[in-house]
Amino acid sequence: MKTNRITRTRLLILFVLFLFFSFGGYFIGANTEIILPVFNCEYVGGGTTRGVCIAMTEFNKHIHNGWTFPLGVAACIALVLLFGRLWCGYVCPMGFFQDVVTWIRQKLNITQINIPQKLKPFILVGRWYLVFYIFFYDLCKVCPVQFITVPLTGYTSNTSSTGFFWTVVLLVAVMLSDRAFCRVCPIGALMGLANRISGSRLRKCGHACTHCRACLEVCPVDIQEVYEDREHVDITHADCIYCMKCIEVCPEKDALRFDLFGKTIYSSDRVTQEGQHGAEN
Amino acid sequence: MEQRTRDRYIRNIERVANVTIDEVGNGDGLEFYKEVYQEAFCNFDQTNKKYIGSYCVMIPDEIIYALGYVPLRLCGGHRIPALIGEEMVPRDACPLVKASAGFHAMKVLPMYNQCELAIIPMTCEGKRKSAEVLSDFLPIIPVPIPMSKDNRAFEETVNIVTALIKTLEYQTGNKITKRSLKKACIDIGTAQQQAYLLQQKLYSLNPQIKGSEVMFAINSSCFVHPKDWTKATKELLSLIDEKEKTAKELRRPKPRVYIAGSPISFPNFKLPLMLEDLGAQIVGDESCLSGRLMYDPVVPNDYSIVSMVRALSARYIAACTCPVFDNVEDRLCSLKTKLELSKAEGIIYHVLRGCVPYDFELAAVEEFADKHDIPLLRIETDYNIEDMEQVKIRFEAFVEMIEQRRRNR
Repeated sequence: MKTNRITRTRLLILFVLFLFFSFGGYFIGANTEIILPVFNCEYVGGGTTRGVCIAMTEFNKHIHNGWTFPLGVAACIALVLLFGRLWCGYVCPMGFFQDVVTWIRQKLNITQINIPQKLKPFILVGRWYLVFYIFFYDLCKVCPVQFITVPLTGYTSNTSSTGFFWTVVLLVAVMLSDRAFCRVCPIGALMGLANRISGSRLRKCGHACTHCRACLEVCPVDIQEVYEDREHVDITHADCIYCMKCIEVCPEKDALRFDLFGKTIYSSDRVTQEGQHGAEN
Repeated sequence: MEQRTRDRYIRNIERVANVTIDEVGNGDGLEFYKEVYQEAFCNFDQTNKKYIGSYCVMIPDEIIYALGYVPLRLCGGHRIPALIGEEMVPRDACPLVKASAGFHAMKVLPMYNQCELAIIPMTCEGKRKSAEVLSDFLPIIPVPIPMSKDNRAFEETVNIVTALIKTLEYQTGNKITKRSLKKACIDIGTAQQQAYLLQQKLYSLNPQIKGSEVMFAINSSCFVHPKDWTKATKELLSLIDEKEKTAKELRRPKPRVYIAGSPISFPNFKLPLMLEDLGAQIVGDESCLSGRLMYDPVVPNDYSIVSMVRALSARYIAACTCPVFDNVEDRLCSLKTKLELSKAEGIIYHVLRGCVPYDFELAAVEEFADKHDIPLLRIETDYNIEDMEQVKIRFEAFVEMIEQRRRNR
């Protein structure tokens, strides 16, 4: 039995920000100076801020056009260093899309596929290949994200058969596994580096953990350490998007907690109220 | 079986059960649990309930409820069938295995007679071999359990639980549906929440319920539907809340003792009762038939069958701290947490005679207790009451020692 207070709040934030990213431009105007560390496609019609991906793919094009671009990039990096991958869990429109697909999957009773641990190294290689790709090749040409977020806002983007192919692959993957794209996301991979030093920390009290595996079963990105590690207090993993589902399900009081700049925001507790059996179904 | 023998069995089972019921179950708010035990051990009329029995705490009850059957934990704690069972299993087997075999051989209790089949997880040697002994009496499904807790073993466990569901569906002719499994998960989950709250009551500095009563209440959940149990426990909890409001602080708090080790199940409550007679307060236990029985919750990712089966495997096997698993670390961690929460001042390490796995881990637990400066007393006993006086003397000294340590601080 678990609560889903945080998940509900998180989805609400994601939804509001999705509207803001997709249609906000109509009301407050498109502001291309502000760059946020999320996957927000440049071709979205009513976009109001830039996703960081375009800054990476068209770095050479923009770097010579005045000082606003380098400043935007610097601010973006600072935001990542401050919050880590909190952006992925609470802001990213692509993350919102995946969470919605997961919600639909649960409604349709399609069972999630558990990705075997053996495949993890391959996923890691794929992720860093994409990082390489986004810097040195034109990811936009084959990027599946534009075929998902752009049509959602009522626009069409350029067509590319490779892009369509990857979109279908991505849709199937997201349908079968929570946050499938986040596992290979190149921006996420780079932000994962910041997870080591950022102000968002996932902490664990080792001896309070009973190894019941609940945290690992709900983790959308299958982080093994949250379940296994008893030695370290700080168990923030590079893949962690701070969705806090593990804290929600953890039945042991204060075994897992989320700290933001040293202040505990949320810690685990046993659910003893009736009627809190999860929102799904 | 001769009628005379049968009558003698019935008389003795009833007598021993009634003694424990009278000794423990006379507190306020325990009427429901008392009735449950009376129904289970003192009523010898056949009913029309369809039972599926299981041993240990590693078989998910949820599956059995979802199939439309009533689960029963068949692990016996009764000393009369233990005598009968002595002829069927080796002398050095633990009394729990003896009692379980004895109950089947006696063929008097309806809950054992009406069992359509029994599921035995192959945990310790006793359980593994008793599967064969018991197959003379009823169909047995032996369930292999991986003795490790790594990922590979967990995937194997999930496969085993899935296979168990398939076997049960084939044997009973019923199908498990998503809805029935979810309902069972929620019913048992709600009962677990109440059990958790009940155990929390013991952590207070002046608990308004005895430790033995909590064990009595939680153990009774083996023989009754979780919904009824939840209702009764809620009433008990509100009663305790009432008492807590008017309770005065004790001038001299009772020595707080934690019971670790082998299972303590109805009607073998001699250790907790004796401790309480000597003025100790039992603040918790890690017995698989009371303290751990309803502790870990089932937390599925979503309510699809696969997710629920994974969550059930995780809760019943991955979180289990039975000493048959390959390392003691999980158990020490949970002991540490419980001891801190309950502010226990002493550990009674109960070893059922012949229960080798628990005895093996004694050294590790002793070392752990040493490190945390908590005295530990190992008591090896069985269901018989002959050694009561000897045990009592040791308990007396132990309780006194705790009080002495308090004064020295």
